[in-house]
Amino acid sequence: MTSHASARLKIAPFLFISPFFIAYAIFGLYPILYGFWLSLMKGTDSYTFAGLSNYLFVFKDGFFWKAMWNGTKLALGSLFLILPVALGVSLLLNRPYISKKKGFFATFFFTPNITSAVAVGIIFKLLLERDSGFLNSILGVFGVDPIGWLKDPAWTIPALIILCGWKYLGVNILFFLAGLQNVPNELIEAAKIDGATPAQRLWYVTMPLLRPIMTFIVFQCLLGSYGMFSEAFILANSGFGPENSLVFPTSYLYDQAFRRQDFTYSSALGYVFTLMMLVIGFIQLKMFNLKDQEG
Amino acid sequence: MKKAISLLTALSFCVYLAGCSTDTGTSSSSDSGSESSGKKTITLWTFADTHKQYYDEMKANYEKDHPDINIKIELLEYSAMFDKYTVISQSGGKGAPDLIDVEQGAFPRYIKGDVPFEPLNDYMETAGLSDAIPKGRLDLYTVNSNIYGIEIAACVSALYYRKDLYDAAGIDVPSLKTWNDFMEASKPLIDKDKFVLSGSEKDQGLFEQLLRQEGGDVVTSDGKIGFNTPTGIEVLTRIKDWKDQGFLSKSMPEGPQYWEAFTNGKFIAAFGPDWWAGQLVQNSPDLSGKWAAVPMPLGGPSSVQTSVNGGTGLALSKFSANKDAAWDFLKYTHLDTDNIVESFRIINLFPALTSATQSPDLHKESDTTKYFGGQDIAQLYADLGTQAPSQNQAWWRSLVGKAWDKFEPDYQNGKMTPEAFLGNVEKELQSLIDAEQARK
Repeated sequence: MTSHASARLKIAPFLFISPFFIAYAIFGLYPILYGFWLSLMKGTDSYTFAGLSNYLFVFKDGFFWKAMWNGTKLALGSLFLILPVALGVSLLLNRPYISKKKGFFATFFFTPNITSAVAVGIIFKLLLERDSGFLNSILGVFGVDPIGWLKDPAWTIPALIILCGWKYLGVNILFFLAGLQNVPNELIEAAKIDGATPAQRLWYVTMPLLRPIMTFIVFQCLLGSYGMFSEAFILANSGFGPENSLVFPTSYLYDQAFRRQDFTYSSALGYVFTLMMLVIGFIQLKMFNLKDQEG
Repeated sequence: MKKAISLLTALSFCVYLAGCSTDTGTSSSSDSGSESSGKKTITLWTFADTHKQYYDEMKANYEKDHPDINIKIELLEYSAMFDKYTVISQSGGKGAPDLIDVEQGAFPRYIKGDVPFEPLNDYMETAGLSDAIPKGRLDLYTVNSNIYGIEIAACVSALYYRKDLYDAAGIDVPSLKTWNDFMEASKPLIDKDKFVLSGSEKDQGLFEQLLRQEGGDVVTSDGKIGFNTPTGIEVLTRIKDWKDQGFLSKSMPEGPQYWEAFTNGKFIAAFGPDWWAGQLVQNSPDLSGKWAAVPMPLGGPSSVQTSVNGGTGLALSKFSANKDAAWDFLKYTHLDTDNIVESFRIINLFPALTSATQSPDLHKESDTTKYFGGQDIAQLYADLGTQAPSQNQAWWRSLVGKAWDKFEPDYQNGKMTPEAFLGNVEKELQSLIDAEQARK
């Protein structure tokens, strides 16, 4: 009896956590494994084994590489435009004279992040319209000719960066603010006493201490850029935009599955994309030298 | 204790699953076509608000005559509707509508593999309606001799123009028989912000319509690529010339602003099918009485006075639990002479149904005839219908846009000639076709 009770006690924790694992097995693990099985098949309704041929097609598929290149452009724009602005704003919000209003500003910047991506896409489509869009009207006041934000392939990625800047600035500010809480004031004070300029304090004290959170932010940024779907899909009228400049890996695999009914190839695309994201992630971790930080 | 833990586990799992559920509470045809009240529910999906307007009127009449049937019309966004139906058809059909409006451009995606619609041949034969619609209008929805959709409109194109403006300028449009004559005569009416026709950054739609006017098509009758031809080059060159000379705008406003541009006089003419004119009537009501319609001016030596553009076939879902009832409503809206004549009155869809084209009721006064200054526009469509070109279908047709989009910006910026552009598009299209075929 005692041994039964003890066995039950041993099982109890597993039972408590089992709902998540059962649900994950059904809705997470099974699709992942089924997707891999599909990627080795060919056919629309009935499948026949095709080995790695789908994977070979992915590597020869110019469209997929175009989608990856578009993701790279968006990632570069996000890394070098959105993140520095987010860092700048969070440094400002971290100043002692604003700290009392920090919550208000954080909410102000964060609100766009919880707005539906579809709603944001539709609104930005109107704002970025060439002939009657608000942005071109403003630029027109300064004598700038109307820009085909969504019609000219050279401007579609900048248009998307503007949208992403508005939508994702807030969440990045929050991340940076969280990171800045871990920068001890004593170190800044010590640097000040040693005669370091504000720029030197930022570069030699604050930035190195922000590195752990930066690793996370940059990875999130890369993942979000390559995985871009909703906003680009809406801006491109559910298509790929001029010169396919708004096609991203996820929208391409969506197209292959749900429009071309090529689920097997779409699964292979998904796997290749995931592996590439892992590689990019590892490279990034290596660059940020996270291990050294921990050491 | 053991029981309590098991119960708690089961309960939490159910709560978790309920949270994962995406059921929005809408009834689906395949699992809840019959309601507890004993009424059968027939769900119809459409993407066109004009079609919904027609279906809503038909629904009211049909339900009066069929108290045991409840018709549910759902309007969905174009891409979302077809994407949703693809997902449903790939996952067993749960949530599928009984009837779905399939736009001819969206149909090719369903040709691969098992077509998720019910062949209508037997239904038509049983009802004695096999020859009710000209074959050419059903070919768009036919695979291996199986008809999967019933077309509602003839989709014949005419030229529409601002009669008030042309008359005031002393220009007699019906006497202008060629595009060159028409454009030259229109010159005094345009300036840098005013155009004869609305163009856009993407010439594909205009090109396809004008190509069919010349007897060509993107897909040849034997299913091959058909646009990179001397006729195709001639048509694309004509569009380019129109843009260069300011007859055709280089961009097109979107959404309501498109119709506002007509209301404001930015565009003073247009060519398009019956359904386009129906949209004009609805969206630019201020211009009622100021428009007139004539046959399309001629282009090259083999051109005719009309073209065809678009088309939508109502299809019966393979997953419908009430196929007979759904077919009956389809027959009511698409194959009933009186109702089809009504569709012309309501939304200006000139019938594809042969019996309806001969109805004298088509020539009655309506909002559309008033809009076109009392003109018997049905007679115009009927006359043009006899010369209407055919429109061919192929599984790869939806890939044309992908290939076209790849080169269009460079072409529009003058970096390619029409010949080079069409050559590049054909090459790209062929490689997309080859890639898909290789994967099959």
